Parts: sequence; C-alpha cells; structure tokens
Amino acid sequence: MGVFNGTLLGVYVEDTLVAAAQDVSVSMSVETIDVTTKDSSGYRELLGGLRTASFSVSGLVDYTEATYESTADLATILIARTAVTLKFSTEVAGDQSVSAEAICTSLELSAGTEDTATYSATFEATGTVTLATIPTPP
Amino acid sequence: MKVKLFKAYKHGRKHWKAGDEPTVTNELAAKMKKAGVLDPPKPKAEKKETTTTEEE
Repeated sequence: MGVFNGTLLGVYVEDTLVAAAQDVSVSMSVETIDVTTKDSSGYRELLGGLRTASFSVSGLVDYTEATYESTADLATILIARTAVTLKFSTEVAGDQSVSAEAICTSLELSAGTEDTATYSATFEATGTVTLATIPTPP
Repeated sequence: MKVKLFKAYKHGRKHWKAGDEPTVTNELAAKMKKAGVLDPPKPKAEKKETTTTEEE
C-alpha cells in the first residue's frame, strides 16, 4: 500500500512552500474534439484536445511570514500578472510531483467576526505540465 | 524540506537571512547546499601555544 497522509502535500511557488495552507489541490483535464460522423455507427467518437491544469491552495492569512510564500507574496504575484513556477508535491524522495509555469488568476481573502482570516488562491498552468519523480534531498 | 540557512541567500523575491528556516523543494535545497549556505561555519582553528623549553 502506497497511500499516505495528505498533510505532506503542499504547493511550492518558486520552490518555496506556501504558508499556512490547509487545503491544496491540482486539477488536470483534457478537452475533447468530436469527430463523430455518419460512419460512427451511432456512437460518439472523440479525439484528445487541449490539455489544461490548475492549482488551488487555501489556508490562513499570514502577511508577515518571511520563510514561506506569504499571502502578501501571493497578492504580489497576482498583481504582477507574470507566470511563476508551481509545484504540487510531498517532497518525499520517490513520490510523484506535478509542476508547471502558472499564472495566479484569483486570490480571495475573507474574514468573519471572531473567526480566522482565510485566503484562497487559484493558478492556471501555462505551457507544459510536468509529472516527475521527486529527487533525493541533498 | 525544511532547511536551516547559515548564510543569507537570495532566490527570486525571497531574500532569506542567516538563521532562517524555510521549507523549500529538494532542488532548491540542493542548490543551497552547493552554494554552501546549509553548511555550519567551521570552528576557528585554535592557536597553537608556543612552548619554550629552557635548556639548562
């Protein structure tokens, strides 16, 4: 059994772990091209089309965290509108990681009365999405 | 992996100082290791005491 605790999974922006994350996810999909014709015997026929991936991370707001990628850093990335390197990984040698260049397309901050302030960020991949085996640490 | 820096290190927007303990990818940790940032400073070699023996 190769199952593991999901707490190990994190989102790394420019090689640095995003701070105070509680939930992370990566979503990959392939669009389809309908190539059904009269010769398809009444069954739909498809070709693989555009491949896309998006990363999401949400957690507690921390503006000052200097050693991690803070909420302020995420806001800076969104405002800059530039692609950053993203990695969805446990960083355990031998595990699989998903990485891509990605643009931060949304950042939501919210805070209720007598509640923790939370953030939620989404990144859309631009270009190749790479699946790789995590190397052994130095 | 969590690393402890013994020297300041700049990586993109991040400018870590000595003593910081960021959690970074294994690839960045390897670069830091190569740059000697993760190695504790070597203790200074003790000065050898010069002993003079008096001859009778």
